[in-house]
Amino acid sequence: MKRIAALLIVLSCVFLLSAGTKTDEKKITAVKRSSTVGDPALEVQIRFMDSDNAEFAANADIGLPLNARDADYTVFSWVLSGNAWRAVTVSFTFSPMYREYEADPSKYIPYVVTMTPSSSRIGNTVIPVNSKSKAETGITTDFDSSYVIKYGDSFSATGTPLSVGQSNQSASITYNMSVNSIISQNGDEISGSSYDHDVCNFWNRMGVAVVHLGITADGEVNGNVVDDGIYYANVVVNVYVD
Amino acid sequence: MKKLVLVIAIALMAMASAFSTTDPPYAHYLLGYVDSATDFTVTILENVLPFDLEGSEVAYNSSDTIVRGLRVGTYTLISNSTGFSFYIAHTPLELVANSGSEDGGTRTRIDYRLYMILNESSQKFKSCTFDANASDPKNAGKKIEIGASDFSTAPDFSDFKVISIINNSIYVSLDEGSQASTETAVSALKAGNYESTIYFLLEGN
Repeated sequence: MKRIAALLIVLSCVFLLSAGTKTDEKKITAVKRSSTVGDPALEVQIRFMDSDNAEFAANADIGLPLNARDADYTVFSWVLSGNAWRAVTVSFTFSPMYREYEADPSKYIPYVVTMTPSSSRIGNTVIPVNSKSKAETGITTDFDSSYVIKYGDSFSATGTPLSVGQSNQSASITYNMSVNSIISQNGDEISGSSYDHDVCNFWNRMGVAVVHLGITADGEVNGNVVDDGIYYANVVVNVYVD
Repeated sequence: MKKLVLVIAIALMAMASAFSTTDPPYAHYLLGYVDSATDFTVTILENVLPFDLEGSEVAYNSSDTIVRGLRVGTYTLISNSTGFSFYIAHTPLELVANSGSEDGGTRTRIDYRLYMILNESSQKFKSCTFDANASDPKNAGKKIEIGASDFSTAPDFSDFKVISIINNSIYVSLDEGSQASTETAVSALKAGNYESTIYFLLEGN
């Protein structure tokens, strides 16, 4: 098990302010795959977007609406990308949601977070989660032109939805990129074949995290009125490549 | 002093909360303006990024009239005044240092053409390649400038127009001046991750 990255994100409240003249900037990203046939370098990266699809950096604050209550809110989405041809696991550890400067655990706000894989892509082709339909039309590898590989897109999720109360809770999603089969150019599957390279075509795996706060519409938790203030929950994200 | 700052922040959040995006309680928005107003938003479609530089979707587009490229985002532009200018400029796609194996080539950047669709049904668009002064889009040499006159079909209320461009597409295709030079440039790129910044500036009155 190799640890590729460790990122820390802090959930908190943020605000926007508009003005007469408005500016914005967005980044687009691209990849040139390795040209070393048979042995490209293994690459894995993860990026995070807020509910407006704007990328944010590790340690950045991302916000929920003011007076968020008993409803679902998209907190962030992630794009895991790379070329690793093996199981890649993203783990999330959420802390209790605590009020700034408040150490009393009884003041924590319980919440539920649901992490859901949403879509996937190989090359520039988007494929639905858990579907091989696009892949079956033939996405060839760079490594051997005599084979067409059907990429499986299976994943397994553990611990989601996640209920966070007064202690840290963890969930993980494993994208099993190594689930695949190999067929020849004429479409016949090669029984018992083994194709155990470390990498494959560049892929994307998307997902979204939705939080549901345990605050009633009246602003109460377990019958107690929630104090005004800024509340934080920390989430640590790790990416592991088998 | 710290407490005072906190109170101000909460007050500003209260002002901004009406425009916060939540999912799913509010499926639709109804916007109204008093006095003149302009606004824009840009959404990048992260599910297509990072795109494959060798993919056919982003290959050089030889047409001046038809958009062929990868749809990487959308933009929304709203104005009830004719006196606005929307400027867009971008940097080239440049290799992110120490990303990937960085083998296989010598080049570390490639230009692309950015398309802003003005009318989805007619596919009317404006486009530009990169400019060294992209971070100042108004004064960039190569830029996209969108104004009220680009929307001739908008209703005309004598001295002002209402323009509402909702989720129009943004496309990109690689462009080094010609198909041959673009293909040569792609094959000469180092392997790794590339990044470009697109700058937007809206001036209204």
